[in-house]
Amino acid sequence: MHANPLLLLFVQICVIVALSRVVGLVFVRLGQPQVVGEMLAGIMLGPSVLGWLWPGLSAELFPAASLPFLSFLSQLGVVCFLFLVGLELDPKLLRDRGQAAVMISHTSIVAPFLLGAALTLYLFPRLFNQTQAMSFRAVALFMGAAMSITAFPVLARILTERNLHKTTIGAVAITCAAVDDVTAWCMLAFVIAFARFEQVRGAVITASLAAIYVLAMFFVVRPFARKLEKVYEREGRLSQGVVAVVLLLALGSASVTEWIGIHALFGAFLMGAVMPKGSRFVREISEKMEDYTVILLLPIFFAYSGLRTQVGLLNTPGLWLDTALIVLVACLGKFGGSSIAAGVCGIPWRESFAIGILMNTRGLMELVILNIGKDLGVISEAVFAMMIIMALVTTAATQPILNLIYPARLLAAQLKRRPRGAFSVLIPVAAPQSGAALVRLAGAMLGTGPQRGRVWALHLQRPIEHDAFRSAAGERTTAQPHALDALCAHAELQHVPVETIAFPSIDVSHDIIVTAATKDADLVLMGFHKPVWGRALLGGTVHRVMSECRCDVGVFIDRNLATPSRVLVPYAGGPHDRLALELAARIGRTTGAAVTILYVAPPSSAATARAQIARDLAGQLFPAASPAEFRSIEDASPVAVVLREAGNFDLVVIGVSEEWGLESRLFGWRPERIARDCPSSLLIVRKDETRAAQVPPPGEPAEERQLAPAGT
Amino acid sequence: MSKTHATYIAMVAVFGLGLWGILRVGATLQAAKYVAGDWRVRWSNGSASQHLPDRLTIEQSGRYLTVTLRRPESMGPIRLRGELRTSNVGQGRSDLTLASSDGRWNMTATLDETNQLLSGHLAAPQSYDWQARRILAPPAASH
Repeated sequence: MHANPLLLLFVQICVIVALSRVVGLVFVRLGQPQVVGEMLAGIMLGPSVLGWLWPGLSAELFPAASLPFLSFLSQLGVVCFLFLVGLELDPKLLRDRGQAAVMISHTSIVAPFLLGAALTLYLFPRLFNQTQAMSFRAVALFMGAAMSITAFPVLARILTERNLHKTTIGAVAITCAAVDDVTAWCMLAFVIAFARFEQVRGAVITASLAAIYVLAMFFVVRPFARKLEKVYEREGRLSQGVVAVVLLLALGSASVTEWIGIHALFGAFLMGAVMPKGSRFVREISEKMEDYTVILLLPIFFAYSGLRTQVGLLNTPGLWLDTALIVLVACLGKFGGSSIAAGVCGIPWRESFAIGILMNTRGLMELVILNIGKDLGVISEAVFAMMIIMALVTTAATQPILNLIYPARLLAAQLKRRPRGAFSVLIPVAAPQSGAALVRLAGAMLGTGPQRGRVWALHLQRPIEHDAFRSAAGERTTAQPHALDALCAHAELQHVPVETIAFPSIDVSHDIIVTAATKDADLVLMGFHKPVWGRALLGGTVHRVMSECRCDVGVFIDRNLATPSRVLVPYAGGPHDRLALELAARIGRTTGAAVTILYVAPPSSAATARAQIARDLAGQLFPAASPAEFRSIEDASPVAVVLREAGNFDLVVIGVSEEWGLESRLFGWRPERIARDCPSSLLIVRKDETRAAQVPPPGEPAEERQLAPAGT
Repeated sequence: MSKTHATYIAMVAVFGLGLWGILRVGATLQAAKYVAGDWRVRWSNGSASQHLPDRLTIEQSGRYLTVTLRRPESMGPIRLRGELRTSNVGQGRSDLTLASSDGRWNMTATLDETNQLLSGHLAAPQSYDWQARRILAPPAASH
C-alpha cells in the first residue's frame, strides 16, 4: 500500500470515518455527546492504542510519510468547521446579554486563564524544554487561553438535548459560551502572534494588522456578503456560483490571517461571523458544507490529533499526577469561576453549579487550540497528551455531573408554568398528515370557558447528527417545522390553543416522556401509523411511552373521525376503563357528544353488583344535565359485543384492559383484535397508575383536577 | 457604582495584577535543557561494544526523557526512561539518569554547557563509557 499513496489515503479515510462513526454512536448510546466518542476514536488510531497493541498494523496503515496528507485534510476540516461555527454564531447572544451574563462569561475566562498561567509556574521546569517557542511567557499565555476555552457547539447540543435551552441556566450558559468563544479566539490570536514573534513588539504589530483586518471584514466583506444574500433571494436558490464565492471568501480570509500570523482558523471563523444571520441563505450554506465537514473532514482531524497523542509518554506516576493536576485546575477555573460568578450575580447556587459544569465543557474546540499549540511548539508532547485527556474528561463529565446537580425533576419544576386545574394534552407528531386528527380529538377534550386547557404539539426531529457547530439552539426549537404546519393550521380553524415544541431527538420515546413530565401534561395523545395488522400493534415507541410515561397516555387510531357526536365507552371496571370514562365525559361536555357506557362482563353472580358500581361512577362523572346512557350486557365474549356495538358510534374510547384483549398483549406479538377490527375510530387509553396512586383524598385539588368535568 | 460593577472592576484588576505577577515570577524559571533528537555515539570499549549502535535517539517532555538505542532487529532496541536534572540552573551541567523498564540497563550522562556533547556510562551486563554529539543543531533556546 505504501507504494500507492492515493490508495493508502483512501484506506486511511475509510478506517477513520468508519471508526469515528461507530465509536461516536456508541457514546451517544451511553448518553455522551458524539464528539467524545469521535475524539476517542482518533486517539484509538494513534500510538496510544493501535500503535501500542499492533505496532505493525499501525506502521502499515499510518506510515510517517503519509501524515502530511492527513495533516492538510485535517487543517481543511478545521477551517471549514470554524467557518461553520462563525456562521452559526448568533450575534444576538452577544448583544442582548444582561449584566449577569457579562460577569459570568468574563469570570469564566479570567479565572481559568489566571489559574492556567499560574499552573505553568509549576509545570514549566518539569514538562517544557528550552526551545524558542517555549518561553515562559508564551507557554503561560497559551496555557491560560487553552484552559479558558468552552466548547460552544457541544454545549449548545447538550442544552438542546436536555431541553434546557429555555431555562435560566440554558440562556446564561449559551450566552456566556458565545462570549467565551469570541474572546478566546481573540486572545488566542494574540498568543499565537506572541509565540511566533516572541517579543511584545512583534505581537502588537500582528495584533494591529489583525484589528485592521477585522474592521475590513465588518465594513467591506460583510456588505458584500449581504449582496450575495440578495442574489440568493433573487434566484430563489443557492446556486453553485454563490457557494463558490462564499468558499473563496472563507479560504481567502483564512489565508490572510495565516499570512498576518494569527492562524488560518481565525480568518475562517471571522468570515463565518460576518455572514448575514438568521436567514435561509446562511442555513443552506451551512447545510451544504455540513455533511462533508462533519462526516469526512472532522474525523480526519480527530485521527490526526490522535496520531500525535502519545498517552504512553505519561509513563510515571508523577506524570499522571501532573495530568490530574491539569484536570483539577481546568475544572477549578472554569467550573469554579463560572459557578461563583453566577452565585454572586444572584442565581441560586444549584443553578450556578449547573452553569459552571456546562461552561466546563471543552470538547472539540480544545483540540483545535491544542493542535495549534503543538504546531507552534509551545507545548511538549507530554503536555499535549495531558491536555487532550483534560479535554476528554471535562467533556465526558458534563452530562453525568449535570444530571446529578440538576436532575430532570428540577428542570420540570422550572418549566412548569401552567396554572393548576387546566387540562393539558401533549401531542407527539411524527408525520404532517396525522396532526389534524389528533388536534381535533385533543380539542374535544379541553373543555370550554376561561379554564380551557391547552395543547402542546411536539415534533421530534431526527438530529442533524453531529450538530457540532450549532449555536442557535433556541432558534431551532422555536421554529415551527413542516410536520406541525398542518396541525397548526387546523388548530387555528378549530380555535384550539396550541403551542409547538420541536427539537432534535436521538431517543424519541424518552424525549416524549421527559417533555410530558416537563410540561406536566395530563394526557399524551399519540397517533398510530403502523398497519393495523402489523406485529405488536402497541409496540415500539407507543409501547415504551405507555409503559414508562408518568401521565395518562392515549393512542388514537383514526378512521376518519370528524367532530365526535356518538361516543362509546366499553367499561369493565379497571383503572384504565375509568380513565376512558373520564375522557369520554370531557368529550361529551366539550362537544355535546352523546356518550354511551357499555358495561360488558361474562355472566357471573357478581356481574349485577359490578354493573351498579359502574353506573354510580358514571353518575359522578356525568352531570345530571347531560347524563350518559348506561347499558349493561352479560356476554361470554365481551370483545365481540364491543365490536358489534362499535359500528353505531363514531368514536370508541377504551382502556388498555385485559378484558378487551389489550392489556395482556400489550407487549406481545398477537394483534389486538379490538384495535384491528373496530369499525369506528378508536382511542385506547392507559392510566398512569403511579399518578393514580398519588391522588389525594376526595375534595383536595388533585382529585378535583382528575375528575372535574371539562370546562369547569 | 453598583456592587456588580465594583466586583467586575476588582476582577479585572486581580486578573491584570495576577498575570503580571505570574509572568514576572515565571521569567526567572528555566525549562529543561533541550536534549531531544539524534546523537552520534562513540563507545570507548572497542570490540566489546560492537553490538551497540552508533546512534541514540532522545525523546523529551521537559525533564522526562526516553532514550532509544536501536540495535539490529534480531536483538531489539534498548529503551531507557529517566529524567534530566540541571545542577546549576540554566548555566551549568545537566545530568541524565535513565534505566530500562526491566532494570537490566542503566545509563547516566552529563550534558556539557554547549549543549552539544553528552558523556556517559551505560551499565549493563557489561559497562561502557561513551560520548555522543548532536547530529542536528538544537532549536534556538528561549530567552
